[in-house]
Amino acid sequence: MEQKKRRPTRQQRRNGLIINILTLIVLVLLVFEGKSLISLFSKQDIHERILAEEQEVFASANLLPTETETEEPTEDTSSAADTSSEPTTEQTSAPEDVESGRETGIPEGGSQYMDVVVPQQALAVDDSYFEDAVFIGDSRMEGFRNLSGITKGSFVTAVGMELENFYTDAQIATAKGNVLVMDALKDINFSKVYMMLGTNELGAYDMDAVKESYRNVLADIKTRSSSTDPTVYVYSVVYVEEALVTTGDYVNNANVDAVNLKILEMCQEEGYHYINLNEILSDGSHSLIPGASQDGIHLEQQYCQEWLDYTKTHYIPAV
Amino acid sequence: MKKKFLLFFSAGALALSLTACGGKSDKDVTVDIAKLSSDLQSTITSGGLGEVSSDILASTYFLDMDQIEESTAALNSGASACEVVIVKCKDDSYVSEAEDLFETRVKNQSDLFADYNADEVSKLDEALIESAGNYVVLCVTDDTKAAESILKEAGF
Repeated sequence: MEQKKRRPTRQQRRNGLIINILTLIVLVLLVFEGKSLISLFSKQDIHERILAEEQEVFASANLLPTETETEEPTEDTSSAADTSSEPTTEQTSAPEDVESGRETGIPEGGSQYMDVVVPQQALAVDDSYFEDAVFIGDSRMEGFRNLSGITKGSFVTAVGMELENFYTDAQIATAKGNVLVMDALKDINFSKVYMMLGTNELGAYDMDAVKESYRNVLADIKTRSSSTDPTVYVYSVVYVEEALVTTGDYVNNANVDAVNLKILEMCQEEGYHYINLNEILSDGSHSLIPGASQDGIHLEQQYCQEWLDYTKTHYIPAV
Repeated sequence: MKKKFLLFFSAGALALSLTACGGKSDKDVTVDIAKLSSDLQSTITSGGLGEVSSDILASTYFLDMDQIEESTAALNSGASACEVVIVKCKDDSYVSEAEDLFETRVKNQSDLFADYNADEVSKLDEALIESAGNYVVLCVTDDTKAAESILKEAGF
């Protein structure tokens, strides 16, 4: 006689339900946390995992830190630069970041010019390095002179200096009145040039024309040098804080990137060295750090000091 | 007798007027230049100023630093024409030259800002160049009246 199949008791059904739920939880954990479990069992360093996950989150939100190591130029990089242990930088650069300019302040399309971007050196120079240097530039450079704390070097700066008026306007102050830039340079012995123009050119229609003017101006300045082969450093045009700018819509960061790309091109063609100040002054999204300037253009003292510190660690070592 | 009295009176008046032409440089004043600079800077609202080295002071104003006993200069970010400079000359003979150099600075700046930022020219038009004893002050500020008051209180 066939034995009648017994129905499970209520207690047995309950136990079966619990086992099913537990099995489901284990499966969910395996699927979603499998990666974590694997890395846990593989004894990966917890700190490394946190950093890696942090990078992923920041990258997806365009929030990568601004102070990062740039690609090293092949020609001018000293071995010291490779062993840099400056606490203000992190070795986090990736090609896509360089291309987009998110981390480095390099404009889009600028990655092909990285060989002219001055790399960070392990040792900072002191002010004596600037004894044979001339700093030439507009009101932003004048602010640097006034607020950075620099104690050496010659300054040929003027508010409103631009490529267009470079040869025509007497704008460099002397005890006898204002003189042309080229005349002011006659009385200065220099073998290093630090140049910053471009902010007053942001409204130019033809950036190629700006590049050619810049090229001509620098070539002429070199003829005034006491050295037959002066070192020429060209500063990037620093980003602006657009919301604060009142001098015209053309003073915007798209134009800053456009002029910087032309400056990079010129530096590569002429063998000049590009100092990428936006590496430390960018907010990470092609704009000046909020609070770095009261009018959106001219930098406050703290940022001028950071500019000086950056200049002291970004130079071309003597051969 | 009346003629002699008139002659004596005229000579005295001439001497007094000549003394007045010398401005306030004969005043015996002592100034805490750091405090005065700080007070004058409080009248500037268009961006902070920063203290510059004596080398930069010399190259900006073309002062002969051998003639200067003490000095302070606060300059701006390049956004405005505001600045505060105070020097104490070693000898009163250099006071008028320092004043002339400050006048030249103001004129040079006016010429530059006229093309670049005309709003700043009005500040330069009202620039204060004052002296007391061996001290000379140049102050370009957003609030000239307040700065004048501070200088008056300091003995200028």
